[in-house]
Amino acid sequence: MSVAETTPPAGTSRSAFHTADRPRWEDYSRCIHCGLCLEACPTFRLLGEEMDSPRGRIYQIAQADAGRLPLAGAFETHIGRCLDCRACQTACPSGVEYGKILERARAELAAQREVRGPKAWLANYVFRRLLPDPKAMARQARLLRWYQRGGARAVARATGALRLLGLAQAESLAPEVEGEFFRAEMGRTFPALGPRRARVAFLAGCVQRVAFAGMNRATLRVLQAAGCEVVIPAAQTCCGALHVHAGRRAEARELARTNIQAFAGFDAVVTNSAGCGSALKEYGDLLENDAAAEEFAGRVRDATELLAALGLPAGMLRPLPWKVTYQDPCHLAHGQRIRSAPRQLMAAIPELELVEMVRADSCCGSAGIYNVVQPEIAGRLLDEKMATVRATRAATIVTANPGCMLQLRAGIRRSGAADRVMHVMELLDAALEPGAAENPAAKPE
Amino acid sequence: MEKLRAIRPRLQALLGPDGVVADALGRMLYEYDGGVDRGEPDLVVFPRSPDEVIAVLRLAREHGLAIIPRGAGTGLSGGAVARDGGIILSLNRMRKILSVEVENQRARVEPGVVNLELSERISGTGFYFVPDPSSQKACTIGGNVAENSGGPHTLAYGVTVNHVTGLEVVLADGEVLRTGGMAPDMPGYDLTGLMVGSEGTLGVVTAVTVKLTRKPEAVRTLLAIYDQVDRAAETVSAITAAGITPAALEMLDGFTLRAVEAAVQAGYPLDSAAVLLIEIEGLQEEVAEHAAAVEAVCRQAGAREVRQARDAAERGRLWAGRKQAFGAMGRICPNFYVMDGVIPRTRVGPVLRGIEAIGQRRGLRIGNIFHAGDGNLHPLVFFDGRQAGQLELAREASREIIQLCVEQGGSITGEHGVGMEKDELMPLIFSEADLDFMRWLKQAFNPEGRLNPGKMLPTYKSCRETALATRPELGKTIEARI
Amino acid sequence: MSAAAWAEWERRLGAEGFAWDAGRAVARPGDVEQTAAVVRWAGEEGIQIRVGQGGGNLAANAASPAAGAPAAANGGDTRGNGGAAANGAGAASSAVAAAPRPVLRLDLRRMRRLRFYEPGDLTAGWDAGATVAEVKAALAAHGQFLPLDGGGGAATLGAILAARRSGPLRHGFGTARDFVIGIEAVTAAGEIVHGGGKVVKNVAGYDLMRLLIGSAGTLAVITGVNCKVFPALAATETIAFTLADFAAAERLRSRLLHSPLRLIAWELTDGTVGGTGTGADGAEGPAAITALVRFQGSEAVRARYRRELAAIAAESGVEARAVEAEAEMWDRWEAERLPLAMGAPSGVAVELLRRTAEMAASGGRSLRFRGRLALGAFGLALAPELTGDARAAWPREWRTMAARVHGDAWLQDEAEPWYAAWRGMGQGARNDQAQGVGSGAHGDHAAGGRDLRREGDWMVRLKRHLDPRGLFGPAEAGA
Repeated sequence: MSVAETTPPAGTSRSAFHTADRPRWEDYSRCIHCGLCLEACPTFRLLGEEMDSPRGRIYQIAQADAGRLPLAGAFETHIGRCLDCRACQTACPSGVEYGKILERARAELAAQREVRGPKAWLANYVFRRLLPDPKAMARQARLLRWYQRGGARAVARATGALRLLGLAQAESLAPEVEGEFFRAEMGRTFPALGPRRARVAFLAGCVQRVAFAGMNRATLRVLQAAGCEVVIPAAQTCCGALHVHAGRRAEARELARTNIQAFAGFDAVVTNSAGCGSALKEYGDLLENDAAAEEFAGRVRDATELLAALGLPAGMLRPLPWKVTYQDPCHLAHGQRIRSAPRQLMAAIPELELVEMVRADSCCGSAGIYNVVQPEIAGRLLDEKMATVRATRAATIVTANPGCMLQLRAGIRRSGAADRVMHVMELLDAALEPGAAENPAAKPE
Repeated sequence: MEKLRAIRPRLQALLGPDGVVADALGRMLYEYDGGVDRGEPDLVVFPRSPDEVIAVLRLAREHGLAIIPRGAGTGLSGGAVARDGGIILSLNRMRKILSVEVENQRARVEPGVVNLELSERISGTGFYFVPDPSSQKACTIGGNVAENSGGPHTLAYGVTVNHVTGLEVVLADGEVLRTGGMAPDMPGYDLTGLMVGSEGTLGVVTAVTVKLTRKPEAVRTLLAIYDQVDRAAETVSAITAAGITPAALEMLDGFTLRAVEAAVQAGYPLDSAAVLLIEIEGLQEEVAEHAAAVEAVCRQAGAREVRQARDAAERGRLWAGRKQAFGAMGRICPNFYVMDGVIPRTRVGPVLRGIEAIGQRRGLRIGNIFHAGDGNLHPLVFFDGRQAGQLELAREASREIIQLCVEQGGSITGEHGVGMEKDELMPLIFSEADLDFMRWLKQAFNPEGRLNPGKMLPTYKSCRETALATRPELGKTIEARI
Repeated sequence: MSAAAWAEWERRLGAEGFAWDAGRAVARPGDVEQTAAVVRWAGEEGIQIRVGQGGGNLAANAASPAAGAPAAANGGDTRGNGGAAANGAGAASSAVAAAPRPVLRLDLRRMRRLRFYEPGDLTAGWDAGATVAEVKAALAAHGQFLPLDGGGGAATLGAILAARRSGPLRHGFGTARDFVIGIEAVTAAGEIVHGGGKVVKNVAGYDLMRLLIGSAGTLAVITGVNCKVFPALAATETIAFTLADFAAAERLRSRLLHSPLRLIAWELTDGTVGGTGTGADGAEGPAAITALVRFQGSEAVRARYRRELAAIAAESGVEARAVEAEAEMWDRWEAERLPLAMGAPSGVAVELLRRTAEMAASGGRSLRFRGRLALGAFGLALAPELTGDARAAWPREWRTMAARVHGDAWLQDEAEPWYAAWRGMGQGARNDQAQGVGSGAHGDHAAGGRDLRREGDWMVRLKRHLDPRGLFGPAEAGA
């Protein structure tokens, strides 16, 4: 005779939420607090406290809406500690869309919080200027590249300059900026090899353009080899995922509108970033009651999802006698429920041995910018992850999200649990038959 | 409050800063479990070892505070909820598997080990831990012991008590009692059996010795589909009469299975009135014969169709529907009671009709999903929590259903426990003498009534226990009667 | 107590309800209310009650009456040697000596009603005085049964439950603690109390069934039980493995443990116990360590068992043969009562048997045994039997020896006072601390210097709590 009881009606004058982006009763009241999510939650497993569990966070949000909890203080701590990895959504039998609830709570927090000082300046700079603007990004990246190559790194570390900027832990996680940015490819079209089987648009990604240019090029080669004509619209911008995670929904909406326009008219919008893909697929929720947003979201495909559905042409791949293990990116496995597609693609590589790690779908601690803002918990999650990687004795960790790759690389540097981290697209690229691997001359869009 | 101010720094010194939760938000987050009941604790503590548990209990005794043991908080009867303040003793950080001894068919675990985790950890040995409550992905073995948890497969293999052979228990005064062990049939009183299912009122379990069972060679899952609920109910006793004990025999009514199907796509036909999910385990040959026999019984009893899962994936899908059913119902309507009652298996049909009548009389929708094989019903009473009076209406209907179960020779709980949810219903099945004996039994282990107070035994009597704690001379009156 | 005083009892209970038996007063209540009244009167008059069904001893697997032997004079007491052990020089002698209280024996054999039977629900309930034969007959009429193979047909349900006696089918079906779903008992206060109910799954209230089953009538008088019953056995077969030594027995045990076979009985004997006593299956020839496995099912299923077992025998190099007339053999299996019972974790039980045999041999005796190989529970006897001081010392020596093998190993000697085995328990845990031996199950988790209360002490405490005046059996236990 237990009950999924009523929560006091939301929106009363006592509610701690005030904005239009408030968490909705229709969403959070679906939680019957059965607790089946607990063991799926990395922070609950680590900290063992109800406050840092999905059920507990939903309860906090419900209580805040009922006026029993203020947003300042402990509430903010626990909501902030969430990885937004969505593992609880996979575990939830009631279909609670936890991510929606959490992101809305964060939006409330962001709206109500007045932050001043260098941290706020930095955050505003990153979210408003850096991420949406490829040129600014390139400038910063060049700076970072100089810094990574030169002796300034040691100096900066020693002086604590980075710590001042709130980037101390982030420093070890910063992407190794690659030689040539993914810039020349913007605005161009890459033909399919062999008969054209699909015409898709590619999201180049703000961070990927400067830090994962090689991975983007590998993705292009694989898509082409699989028979896709790939267009890279020049007008695209940052997907807004990091903004949504941080509760900056207004900024995210602007970015979303830009992208919806830039990607109009393609069979599919393809991304090689699980985090970006997840955000793109949720544009419908971000821009409520917007038919174009819903329609757009329906066309978004993760690169693995697209290729697994399309099927790889016979003879596309040559044997690769490697032993690899696969880390499910949270925003692929839980956010988009894509688990078998990357595995199917890997299985298509002759002689490749995939050794599954324990809890492959448990967060590595990357979670957007989580490893920057919650370094201690992220570090402990990473240590656990490395232990499970080591147990597989695989030299290569394969995953499908740039954020995870950064975190996992930091992990193997620290632990030596494996030799390298690759994206599924990079792995497929490495297995392309010679001839299929070249990047034929691109033609202007 | 004076007591709390005094004990808090001592607990913090003992358990460290992250071992004690005392702030308003933290305490609020321990006011619930998986069920309906609420109660905010004064403190929450997180011991990491038996020694810390002992020390906490000694401090609690010294300061005269109640202790409420808690596992994952997935229970459905308020067993882990602080009914009247006190200290919640959360055991979920004690999660070491202490030993796995396959040759002895035993494992020894700390109470915070998650039920499914044990079976996963030993899966390579060919053995597993049998009890499989629907919450097995999250619930702890310590919690299973406290509530004597069941699950679909208890039909053939028994509930938790049939799979626990020894315990390490810390008593109210901090004393350690070790009961049973790895050997079978240990002489003397079965204190292990008494502790299992005592809902945290006799002691705090710090280690559990469990039986490990050989996995069956073959498993087959059948789905029998019915156009009439009565036919499904008749099948249940017909299978029993045929001398076959399936490993599991579950039933979902039409309303429930449609909701489940919408959420889980288990493959239940939407136009049916009821389905039975039947699982048979054993040797290949045995399973083949029994599956054929069960299929014949189902058809004879009027099943429209009987399907056998072809592979593990299909079997998993059929089970996903059952295991995730409660949650799936939340998609239709977030407000519902998950009830737990038991009836003789021969009464399934009449009781289902009775439940329907109760629902109609009160204008409430009631879904049925249950362990038909052992008569353990889980009616779900739906209501709209935003409308005033609906909750009370649902409670009344639930009470009526329990009454119906009892009238048919059943019990008020088959696996969720009594807790603070049904203590007032205990007189439906036990006489005052029965309850007095249980109270007296409790006194032997928990004389001051500080261990999980207000649970299992009706509370109107608990005032007497409190009185005893302060006025021991009253105890003599009771003793004289014994 | 004077005969005149007992005459008052006779007046209260009537001719049917009171009797003299070999100079002992016996109450024979006709129902539970009368039983409760007897207990209340006894309490008021300071009379001690011995429940007929064994009162003195907690033999788990060892005791069993000779099949078809006349019921012992004191009624429900089904032990082969009647009340001698309970009242004579054996079990309760020390207690009786310490408590010169008048004793009333309680014989429940007039209470033998079938209380309810729902064949479709596989549940039934009886008064505690119903005999095994009566229970079996009632169930057989509907093709059902209870695995009550730990005693002969004359044993009462109450006796079986009080002693928690079980036989070979315990392997496949569990003990009474597993199949009793409801219980009725009279407490030391003379109150009628219930636990459980009539349904097969029920977690309301404390598990009084578990508490009272095996309590040897020392906490309360069991007056009625409800059971979950089973569909009757299908066709059965038994295969016997002749084993060269204990090592071979252990190899076979481990091999079978890891096979998927689901046996219903799985015994090990030294070859002198069981059947007619000349060999495991009654065959002529020298006694040898023998394992017997029993299985049920259709011809196709049994053929599979035969194949698997033959393969295991061939692979292990042991001789396996089908046992003729196996049902009759199993009927006789528990006929001989063995005075000692031991238990150990299944993986070390055979080793412990080996060491026990060595210990016996060093004293010039041979060890006879019979029991549940897969579970590690055995009845034992020494041939020839020990007597006097040597008999009294032997369990202590055994416990010291066994604690080195495993801390949880236990032994009961029916010649010892009824609480001796409890005291013997936990010795392993104590040794863990004293000697640093880690073999006890508790060793790895134990922190030194704890306020460790031994389970046996707690049982005594619970006994005093529930029966403070020592009404049931020797309350002086552990004093």
